[in-house]
Amino acid sequence: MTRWPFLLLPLAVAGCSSDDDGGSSKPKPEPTLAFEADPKPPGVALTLRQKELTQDRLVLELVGSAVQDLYGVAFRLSYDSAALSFTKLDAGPAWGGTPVIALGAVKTPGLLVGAVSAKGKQSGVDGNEVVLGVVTFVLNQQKPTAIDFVVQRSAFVDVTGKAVTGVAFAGGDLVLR
Amino acid sequence: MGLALISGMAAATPIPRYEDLLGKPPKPALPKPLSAPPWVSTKVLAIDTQLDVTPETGVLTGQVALKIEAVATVTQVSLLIDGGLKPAQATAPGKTVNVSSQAYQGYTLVTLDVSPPLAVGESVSVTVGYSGTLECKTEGCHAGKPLAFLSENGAIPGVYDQDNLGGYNAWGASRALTVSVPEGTDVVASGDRVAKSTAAGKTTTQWVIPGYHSYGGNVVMMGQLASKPVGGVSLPTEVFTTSAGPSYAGEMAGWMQQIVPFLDDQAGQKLPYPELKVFKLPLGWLNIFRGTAGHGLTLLSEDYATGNVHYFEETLAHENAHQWWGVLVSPTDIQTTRWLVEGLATFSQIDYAAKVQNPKVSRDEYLARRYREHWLLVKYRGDPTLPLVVGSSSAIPTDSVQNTLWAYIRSSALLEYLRVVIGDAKFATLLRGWAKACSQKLCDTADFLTLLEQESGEEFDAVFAQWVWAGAAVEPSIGFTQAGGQLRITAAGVGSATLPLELWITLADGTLKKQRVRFEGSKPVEIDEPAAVRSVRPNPRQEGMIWSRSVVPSDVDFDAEVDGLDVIHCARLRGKSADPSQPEGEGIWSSDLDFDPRCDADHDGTITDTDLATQAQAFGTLTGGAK
Repeated sequence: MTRWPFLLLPLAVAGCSSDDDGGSSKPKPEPTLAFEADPKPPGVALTLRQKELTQDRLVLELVGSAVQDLYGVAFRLSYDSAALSFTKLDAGPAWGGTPVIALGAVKTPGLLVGAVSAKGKQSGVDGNEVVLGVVTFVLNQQKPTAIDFVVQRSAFVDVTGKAVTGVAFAGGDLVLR
Repeated sequence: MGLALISGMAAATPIPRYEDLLGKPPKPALPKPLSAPPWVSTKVLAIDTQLDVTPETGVLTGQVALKIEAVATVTQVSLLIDGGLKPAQATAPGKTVNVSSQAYQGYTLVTLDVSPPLAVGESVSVTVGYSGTLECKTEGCHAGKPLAFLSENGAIPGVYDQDNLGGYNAWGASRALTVSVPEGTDVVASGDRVAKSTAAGKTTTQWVIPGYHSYGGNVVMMGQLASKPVGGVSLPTEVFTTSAGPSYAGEMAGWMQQIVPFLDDQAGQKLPYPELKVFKLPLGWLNIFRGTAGHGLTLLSEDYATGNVHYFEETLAHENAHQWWGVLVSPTDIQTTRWLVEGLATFSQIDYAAKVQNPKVSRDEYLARRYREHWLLVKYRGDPTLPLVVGSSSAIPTDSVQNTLWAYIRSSALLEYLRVVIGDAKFATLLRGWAKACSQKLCDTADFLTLLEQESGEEFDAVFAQWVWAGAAVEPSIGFTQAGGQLRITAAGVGSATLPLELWITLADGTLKKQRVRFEGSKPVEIDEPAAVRSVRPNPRQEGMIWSRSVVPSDVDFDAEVDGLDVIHCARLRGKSADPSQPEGEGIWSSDLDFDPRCDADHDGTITDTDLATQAQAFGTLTGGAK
């Protein structure tokens, strides 16, 4: 992981910035990154919710809404690889003590392939606004990026092994404010 | 004279239950038929048997008249009867017949030396009496209450000629059986009943079977019997039980209302009997006589009802399917194969379950699930290299489990595979043609191949050479690439084999396209497909025979990528086993039909964390077409 050289970049950019707005008496605040989640769709859905955003790290929760007998979630997230680097994917608290697999891999830059799943014979997860997984990114630079689910490649799978139909997906945007 | 060519089972039978085979020694050897031409020196034209029997004790007096014709010079004919029976004098007009006998594997082997020998073309009727008390050390009979039975190689003689080629050289003989029992005893036998009379405290019935060679068993059931008619089917049909144990008679009569039309449709004609008799053998008879089929008589033990009544019903369909596939259509290469007898009956059994018992389940889905079991059983317990038609009868597995996997499981998997690759409609026509052309005729595997090629318009010589007359595990690795509107598909790992397949091509928008292709060795197949393709996989109904995988290791859904859907699929299966007799198992041997060998990375028959770790290593591999 070549993390540190990228981390220097936002600092360098910040250091190079100057106040050149014509002699305003009040310095303009530095823009900062913020995560704006897309509007939450009604019904069964997988959405992103900010858990943590610091100078160098973005942590997002994968939130399941109106889930029933959920065995696993498969997803892909697309983002600007210049802005973010994937660090890890952890299972969320929704799984309780169930043995869980959480896998994330980025073999194509800007495309996180992820899965959080129970394993073996288990009852599924039921609930609303349940945190199924937690994704951690490193901020490579102070650069906005959309963080979107690849809907065609994302799915809820129920305890019978069937893909749940009618699931909506909503990602979000990392924006400069 | 010894019987050199003897091994295996001798009649069209239901699939043995797995737990009943475990730890069992191979069954006693029984005579085998010979391949066409079925007559070498002696053509047996008629076997007329008269029996006077007390069913409860097995005391029996019998007489058999053999009408034989010499194809070559005939000096000798042999009979196999129960070990408790001894022959008396034998006569033949114009001949001297010397009778000798010896004990043979629980039977009495009776040798009739004819002098002067029969010249070529000469025919004669040889009559021999026999009597004694049935010992029933073999599967040829059972004496007692409430039910007794007699069959060939027991009270009814099996017939062998001097060439020592096995009992089925009598194929083609017409049979007449006259049975006298104490008055008040009911008799049901294979064959058409042509007479019944009562006199002097005896009830006598006469049964005839026209002259055609058949793998069907000749069976006589005796006891106090009850019966239930089956209404609304194409021929008079009755279900028989013992009076003391009539359980399932009503259910079986109801099932037969579905089974008979199912068979009529499959064969394209109704059964050519004046009556079909279905006999429920009592609970506990599994090791006495689990069932068989003979001319117009189907028998099945109630033991098949233990556990799952639906399986009893589909096994009843299996056994009745033998009326066509085994009794009326008896391939003459039965000495070296069971695929067109037991394979076709198993195929029919599963089809019946799909069509009649599970009509609301997608047919493709149901059949794929059922044939998944065949993959598991043969891959983990069987020998896929064993040809379905072996070179000689000595190559037929004598181990009961291996014999079952060869005779019933892999055979039916091949039939389902062939159906998929030529299409359901053409295969249905093929089976009707097979019944029409070969009922009560001399046909074999080569004739089936000819019909298959005629019906499909395709060559199948190479396929049969690979997997019928030879054997191999067929494990293609399917890969695909797409460029310029062309879909290029490969099937690696099959050497130079010819591999027809039906492929399921799923587009990025979810549309499923079915495409029949034919791989020749490693040569790719190219298809015009302008739309983005998500995955390419063989129709899973073929998987009993074709154990396909994605060319990308750990990709289980054939999209050439290892992603979350693959991981969830295999994670669900953690802890599952490919072994039979699973709790809540399904299918023929109560297998776990969720088990997916594609998730079993180390091929040990269980899906464990080790397998999931292997998949995790590959996770995120993206080489498919549509991202």
